[in-house]
Amino acid sequence: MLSKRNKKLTSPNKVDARRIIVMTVLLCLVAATILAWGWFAEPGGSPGIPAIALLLLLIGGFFLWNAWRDVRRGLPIEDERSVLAKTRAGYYAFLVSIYFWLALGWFEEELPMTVGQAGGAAIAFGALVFFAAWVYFSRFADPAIRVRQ
Amino acid sequence: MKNRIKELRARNNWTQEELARRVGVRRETIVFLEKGDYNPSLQLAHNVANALGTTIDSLFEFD
Repeated sequence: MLSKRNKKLTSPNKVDARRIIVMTVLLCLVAATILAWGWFAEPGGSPGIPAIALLLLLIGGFFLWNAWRDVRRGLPIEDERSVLAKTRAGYYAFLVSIYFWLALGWFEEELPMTVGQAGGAAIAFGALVFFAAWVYFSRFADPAIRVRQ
Repeated sequence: MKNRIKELRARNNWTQEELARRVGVRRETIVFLEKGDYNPSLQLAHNVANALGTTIDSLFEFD
């Protein structure tokens, strides 16, 4: 028989469980938006766009499944270190995105793409940098920015 | 900064996941704390010390 304290420790966090459900819905919405964008941008649809949506669903699904497993074990999906990692990844993604946008503006006339496609590429690039930085700071490095004391 | 988290966790026969659950953090945070690769906030240091039944002073050793 579990004590009251241990029951509390092993019971899934309802707030985290709700967050996972919301994130799953958002992931599906993003994938659906990418599919719709691909469909309307190119009549008849482009074969690359469904592949991007599928890839996003697979990667997002993997992380959501892991988060769900943690919640079922009684672990939180976020803590101070994971929030720090996300914040620092966002900081780098923002900085790198600024340079990407500048480069897009600079090579505007040489680029063989429409404004919509260039915007999509910039968003995808920012997301990629965020993802890479997030994985790095979550798994391999200290996400805290150290200052000399 | 050195710490005695691994030693005290082993004394309690707890896994990293068990300690993480008791402190209310992710398992990776305990991994990084034990390795001394993450400086916790005062609140987290207090929570870890509390879970291990000790004080911040005896848990962390500043260089």
